Amino acid sequence: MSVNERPFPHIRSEERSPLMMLDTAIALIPPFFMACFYYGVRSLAMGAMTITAAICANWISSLFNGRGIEWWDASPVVTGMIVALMMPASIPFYIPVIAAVFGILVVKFPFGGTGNNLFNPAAAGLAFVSVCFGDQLLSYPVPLEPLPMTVDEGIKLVQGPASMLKMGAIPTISVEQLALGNFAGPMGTTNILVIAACLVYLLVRKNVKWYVPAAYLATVSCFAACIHHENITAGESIVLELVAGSLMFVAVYMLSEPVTLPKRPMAKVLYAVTAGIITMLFRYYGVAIQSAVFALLLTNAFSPLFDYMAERARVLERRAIRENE
Amino acid sequence: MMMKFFAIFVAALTAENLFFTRAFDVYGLRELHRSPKKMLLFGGLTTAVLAVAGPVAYGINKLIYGLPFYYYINGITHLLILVGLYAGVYWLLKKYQPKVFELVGKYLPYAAINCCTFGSLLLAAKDTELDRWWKALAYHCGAGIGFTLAMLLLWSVRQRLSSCHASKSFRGLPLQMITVGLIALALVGLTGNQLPA
Amino acid sequence: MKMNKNHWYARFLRGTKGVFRGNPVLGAGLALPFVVVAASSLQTAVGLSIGALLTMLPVGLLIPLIMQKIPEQFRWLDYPLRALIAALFLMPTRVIVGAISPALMDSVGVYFSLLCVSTLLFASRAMTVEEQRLEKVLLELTRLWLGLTMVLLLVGICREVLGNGTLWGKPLTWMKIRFSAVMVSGLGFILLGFIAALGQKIHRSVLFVCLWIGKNGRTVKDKIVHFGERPPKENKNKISGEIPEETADHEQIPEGKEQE
Repeated sequence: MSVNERPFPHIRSEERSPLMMLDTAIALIPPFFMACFYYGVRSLAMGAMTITAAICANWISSLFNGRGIEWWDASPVVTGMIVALMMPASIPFYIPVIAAVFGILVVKFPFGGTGNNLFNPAAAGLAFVSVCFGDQLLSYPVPLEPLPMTVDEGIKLVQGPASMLKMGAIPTISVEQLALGNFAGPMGTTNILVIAACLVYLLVRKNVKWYVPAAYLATVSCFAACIHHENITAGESIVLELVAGSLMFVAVYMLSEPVTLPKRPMAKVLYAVTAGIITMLFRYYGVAIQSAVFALLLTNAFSPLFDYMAERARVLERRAIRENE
Repeated sequence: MMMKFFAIFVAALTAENLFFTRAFDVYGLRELHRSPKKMLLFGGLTTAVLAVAGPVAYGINKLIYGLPFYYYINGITHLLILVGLYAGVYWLLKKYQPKVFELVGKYLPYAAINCCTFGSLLLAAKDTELDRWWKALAYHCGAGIGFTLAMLLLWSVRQRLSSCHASKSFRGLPLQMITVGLIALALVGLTGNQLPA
Repeated sequence: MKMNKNHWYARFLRGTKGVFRGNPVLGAGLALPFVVVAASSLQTAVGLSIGALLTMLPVGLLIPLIMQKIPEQFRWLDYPLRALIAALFLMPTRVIVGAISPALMDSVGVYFSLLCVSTLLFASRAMTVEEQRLEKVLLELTRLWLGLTMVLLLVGICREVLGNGTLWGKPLTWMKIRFSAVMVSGLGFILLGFIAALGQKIHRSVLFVCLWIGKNGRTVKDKIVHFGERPPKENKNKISGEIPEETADHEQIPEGKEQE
């Protein structure tokens, strides 16, 4: 008799397949190319260091979890790439390394390694580093000025559009800048068109269900259309909110992480809508910080609750159908 | 006035959540962990105690605030309010509503006098923004309901935690603490990096 | 398998119950506010532990005495009375702890007053009406307090070194990076979770070592004694395993009884 050793729930897709993680890693390569184009080779060096740190931390965690070192696990590669792309290109190297190591050792290791984590490791690492080194994470270099490997105080750092929206100002970004991602922001999150193309790739490869990012972006758009500055239209407000910060990046790469996402479709939609509501509440009433990341971390905690609610709804629906028959 | 009430209520519920941000705990939670109904009852009792004791504490605080030894009698005064309320409710329920007393009596002492109720009263006394009795009421209601929701959230996560392939050292309390810590870290996005004391 | 090391360890754990095995913070999750939020430096941890001692001791000593005098219908006042006695003794405690450092009371804030409703006051079984002996009550209280202090000091040192790069206010030169996130309650919970896991790991490792030591002793088979036989004397020569000659003559089983 073969015993199903997978953790509960047993209705799940092939989320532990290495191909799925490999697809996400492939989809994260184009933002790295764009970061290298805008900020120089430093972005690639930062990515390499973060990925190496994440892989080493994962080996250590799998060793201490008593299952031997999992040499070919691709999930820390994805974690390292996400953490690196969410950082400003001018940040010291130790900060993304600390974020990646924190994410793996605090979020994956205690829960039992890959496939068991309740929270997104990249989101947790970014949250930790945002609280520790908050000011450094919100100052971005100007694009199209290649950065040297060792960044000193001579580099010009500006605020991104998210901070400007938070303070009540309207960021001035032209349509060409928007299309090409030629404005200050985290390394990999400003290139909206590239991220959209990667979303199409992930949809075609069936790593991401279309309704999850759609529900998230729809919720955010509704909020942006209803609550905006007097001097801009609803449409402009929607575009600015979607472009500012790391919202699109989170919607495409982090929201649909297979381990933390709920399993039932209704629960997934509820999860995405909740993430959107919490993101916008954090943006309006929270402090100047990467709101989408913190909102995702909070919504991860509700994921089992949504699964439970969807399961109960299904049971009640079946009972009602049986009683009617 | 309603907007202000709602704003203070929501702020007390989310940003200054008694459990996640301030880490106030309550004795007797271990036996409640398995049952959401008992948790709702317990949380309801705590909120009710806070809703009644809050405005009373606001009034008494106004009387004693100017005294030179306020710093020392602050604690025992608020505690006497809670003890008086508990004794009154206990006696009344036992005498006039024995059925309700059977249901509620076991949890009443732990729900009435604990870190959450006492701490919430002390924090409201210290907060200069709560200068009206209805603001204090909003704060205390938000705090009590926030605590109940925090307990329910932990209950919902509990089954997922127990089905993880965690190593034996991490099973039980360590994993629960790490989960609570990560949720509290996520709430920093609302409050910023401030010590709530 | 020799279990004497396990018995030694079990006796040690029983003797220190409340410090290691039944630690109130790491085992039962009591006294969370102080460990998670308030213990943000070594000074505050020391201040809180002194405060905890000076509130727990009077409660533990007075409650059994008072409860014995009170008639049974008023025994439900046990719970609020503990909080009231602790609050009464909190006032002089505030003066004593404030003398260590004035800044300590500012940084601890409301949490010092919470010592009088700490869950630790309600957790000790010794502080009940049935417990008559003073020394037992004192012993259990001291153990609980030691357990709490251990965790408070550990958390306080970690948070001060990682968050501020100081120890008791004195800066540490080798600590270059400041992880100021450690002062947030979230990281306090996470730190506590890791310390609890470390404690469980140490416990399991000590058990493993005791069992490993015991494995190298005699097996259980050597200790089985048949009916009528005297157990063999300790044979230091394990390889030959010969029965000493003294016992051989005396242990003839009567023939009739062999068949039974």
